[in-house]
Amino acid sequence: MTNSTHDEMIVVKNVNHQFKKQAEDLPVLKNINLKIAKNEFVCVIGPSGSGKSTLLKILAGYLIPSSGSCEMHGKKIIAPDVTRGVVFQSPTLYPWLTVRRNIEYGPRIRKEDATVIREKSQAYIEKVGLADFEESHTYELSGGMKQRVALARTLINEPELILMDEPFSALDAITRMSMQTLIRNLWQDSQQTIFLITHDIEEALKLGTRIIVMSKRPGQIEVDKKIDFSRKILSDPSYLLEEDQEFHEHKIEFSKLLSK
Amino acid sequence: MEKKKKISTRYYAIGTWVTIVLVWLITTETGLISSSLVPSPSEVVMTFFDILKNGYNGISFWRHAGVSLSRLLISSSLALVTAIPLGLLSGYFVPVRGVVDSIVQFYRPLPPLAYYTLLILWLGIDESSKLTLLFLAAFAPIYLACVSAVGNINPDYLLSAESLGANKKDVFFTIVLPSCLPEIFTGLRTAVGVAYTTLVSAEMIAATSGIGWMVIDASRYLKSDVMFVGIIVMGVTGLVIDHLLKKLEKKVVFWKGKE
Ligand SMILES: Nc1ncnc2c1ncn2[C@@H]1O[C@H](COP(=O)(O)OP(=O)(O)OP(=O)(O)O)[C@@H](O)[C@H]1O
Ligand SMILES: [Mg+2]
Repeated sequence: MTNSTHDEMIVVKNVNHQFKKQAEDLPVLKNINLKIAKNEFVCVIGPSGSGKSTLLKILAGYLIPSSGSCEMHGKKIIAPDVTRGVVFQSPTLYPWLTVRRNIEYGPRIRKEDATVIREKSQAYIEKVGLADFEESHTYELSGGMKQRVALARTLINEPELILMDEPFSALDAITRMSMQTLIRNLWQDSQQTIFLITHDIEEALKLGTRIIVMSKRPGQIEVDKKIDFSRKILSDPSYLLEEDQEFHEHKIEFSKLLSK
Repeated sequence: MEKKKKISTRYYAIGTWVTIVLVWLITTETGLISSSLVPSPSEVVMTFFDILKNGYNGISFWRHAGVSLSRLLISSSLALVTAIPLGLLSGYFVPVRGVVDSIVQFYRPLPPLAYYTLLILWLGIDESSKLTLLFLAAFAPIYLACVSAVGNINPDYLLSAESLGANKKDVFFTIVLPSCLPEIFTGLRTAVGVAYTTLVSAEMIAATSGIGWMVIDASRYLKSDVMFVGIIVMGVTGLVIDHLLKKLEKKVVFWKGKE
């Protein structure tokens, strides 16, 4: 294996995608080229309809692009699998399973050893702060708690890449902040690679190591920029994001781009 | 709010039945209506205990009821084990749906007694024609519920399961089946209800035992008290069966309506 394929976990090459709309084709993604390396935290922003979710679905393996290729470790992505975990905007928890059973879904499907499953699920339940709720039914949980379960259910599979489509957009401001902190810490602790779509510029700046801005439909990558606010937050406890002039400059710059 | 509403409908229901029984009591005990047309409540109660003790036409009450219930149980179970797989398959595969749907849609609106005569011709007058009739009656609602349930599955359930490592078979047994259970239960309750009414009609045409037969036989001899007993027993049994199914439903698909 060469060095470059090791660095680049995901390689998207010349991807175009259009949906059939009655007789016409609706072009949604245009000439997307993108590489994602291990431990990157990619945040994607862009206007509504710019094809962000479509790109995520292609990465997940839910959609095959009309043209171009999308590879993971040099292998074409043709179907969803356990190496790419997905967290949906509204958590798709299975209401017939308890919190614990939802989290254990992946390991149980793979028929892992029962005691190992139990240990792992307990660890993740604690990581996402759901101790005492493990035997609850999912419909008894608040929105934030549901999203935590969805997160734990994905993390327990130790996917190489986590794809998230506006995971916190349905949550209230305070819950969203605590979820952001949670995801940042999880990313740091487990050296995860994350691809997260958001419509919140601040969220993208606070979490990402890299921001991708999509243009209006048909979506193209307009800006692809490395940032380091999340590393600053993690490495320096006295760091205050609100007092960082660079943060505000970035915020204004990206806001201008989006309101164009 | 919810609770209050429940209580008040119950009061109205109780009030309705008390009134019905009172009117019945007054009109019959005072001789306003001849007892050969409408037996008095006391007569009906006495007849009920008489049938309980001595049976009807040499067959014990429990045998009559047992025969009817076992017909219901056997045919509904058969319908359940065939309609669920076929319905789910139809939901999945368009060709299967094309075949089975057209047949189900054709026979479903027919009055069961219309094809019962044919079934008797083909299968004879004994159990098999009755069971087939009830089976057909129960099959349609469960089948249709399954087809619609598959169409209503949240597609994100299927996608998320695949991303969690499930293969097609895992998805079917751990996602599709449980997702469809709430609708299957509704279908089952409808099916048992339809089978129950069909059962009574079936026993009225060709049988030598069963609660439905008891009523028809009594009508030939103008035993209105026996007819009343039969009808009340049928009604109450129907209510009890549905109540039990509802209880079972609450247990099995506890998440229904709470998502
Ligand atoms: N399955 C589909 N069939 C047809 N058109 C689709 C389909 N999915 C998405 N589209 C269209 O493709 C375009 C891009 O959709 P997409 O969901 O990727 O946008 P998005 O950037 O995620 O937008 P938002 O910010 O609103 O979530 C939209 O115009 C949408 O109507
Ligand atoms: Mg979207």
